Amino acid sequence: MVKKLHILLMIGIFTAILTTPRIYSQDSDSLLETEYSGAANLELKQAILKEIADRRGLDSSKVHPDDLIHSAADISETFQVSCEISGACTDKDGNSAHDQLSEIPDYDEEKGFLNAQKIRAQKSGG
Amino acid sequence: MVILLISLENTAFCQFQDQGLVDAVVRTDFDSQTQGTSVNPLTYSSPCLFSIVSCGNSPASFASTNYFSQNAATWPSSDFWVLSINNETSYDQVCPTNPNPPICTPGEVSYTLNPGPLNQSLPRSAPGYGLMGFTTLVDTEIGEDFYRAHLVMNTFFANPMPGGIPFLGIGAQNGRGNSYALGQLNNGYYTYKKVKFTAKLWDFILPTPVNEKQPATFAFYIYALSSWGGKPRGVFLTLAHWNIDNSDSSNFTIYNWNWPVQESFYYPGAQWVFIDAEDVSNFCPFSVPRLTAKGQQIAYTINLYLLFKCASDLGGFDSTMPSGSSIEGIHWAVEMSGKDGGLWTSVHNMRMAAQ
Repeated sequence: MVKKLHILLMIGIFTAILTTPRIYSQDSDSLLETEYSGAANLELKQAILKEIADRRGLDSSKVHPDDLIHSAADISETFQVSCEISGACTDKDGNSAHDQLSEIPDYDEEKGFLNAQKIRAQKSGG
Repeated sequence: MVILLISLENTAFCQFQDQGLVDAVVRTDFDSQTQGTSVNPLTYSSPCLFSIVSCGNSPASFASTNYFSQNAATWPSSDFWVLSINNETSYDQVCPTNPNPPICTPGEVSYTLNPGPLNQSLPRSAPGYGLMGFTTLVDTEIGEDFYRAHLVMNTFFANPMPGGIPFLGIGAQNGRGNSYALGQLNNGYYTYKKVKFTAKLWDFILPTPVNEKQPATFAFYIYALSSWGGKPRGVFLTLAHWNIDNSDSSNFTIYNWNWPVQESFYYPGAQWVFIDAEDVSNFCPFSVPRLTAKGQQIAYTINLYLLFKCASDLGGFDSTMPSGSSIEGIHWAVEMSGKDGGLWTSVHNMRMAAQ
């Protein structure tokens, strides 16, 4: 009996976790595309959404991006898909450039120090 | 009994309001959801905190506020972590008569092209679906039962600013979500002076330069704010970085920074010291590990009293740090220049502690 109650309790907790709505409030994120960058970002976002929704057998016109992100694995998949669809994942020869690096590569530290000065000089209020 | 009372006092009044990121309520900077639009314009302050660096007084209103909240049933007015979603140049700034350092032409104006006000420059997106990707989530799929705050920047989405520098962060700030100071800068045994957290470098894609004037870079920071001598003072620690260095074996960076908008928690700006994690041991009697590899996760403990004292003793501030100054804010952020790059980090289990 105790064991059954324990199992029911666990199922209840698990169901609650799965069904608890995640709450968001925000300005329409369509502003990202319509206000400043024409159609490019909207097309990219929709292409990513369609690809991810298709993989899950969902209608991309009926899901919000947040509905498709529940785990780090989901973020990883979207990170990779967005990189591939945007073309940022391939080098000039069309080879995948993304997965080749497992560590942040070394660079000239003195140049890095100068780069930081250049970046700060382009910021507000500095 | 005395020890117990001291301990209780610290526990009750000096720490993250949401120790450990348990509730994970987050919100953008401005208290009002309409702040920064024509119906509720920004208030610029003059003169600025530092007269020798760029300042500005416009624009007061933008097309959108880009407000965002998560894990709150209504717009939170207290008990929240605050998001920074800033994209440089974030307001119209004017180069002063005698700029020091001489980084601009006197009188020259740099204009912002952002759709939203400073620190809410661009809309937050779901990770991977826009430039400023952010979410908190409990990864039950892999058996985790705690929140991580994910910061996911993707610059293959177009930036409204040519050569824009996006900055995306989450943190706790006294008076903006945290109802009390986070700790104190003194070395008392029971003083909350240490910040503990776990940071992870999940993934990155090296960006490429947008133009010849600006190198492509990225960085992941923790930064803390205090205040004394009439000015906010802070320290940035670079936890991960590529093609950008804020310190080397013998030099670190001092950065005087104006933030003249009264409604933002960063107002009026701050005097910052920047040090890279791997260089801390060159200047201070402790070390801070650097994140370098995909999938690498580090549980950090940083004594902010020792860090600020070290920066102060080295002449990093124009006024020596007095013992006992309060820790007003602690934040984590990613920043990038260039295009076609990505940086995904997370932070969780953020706690203030005495030991």
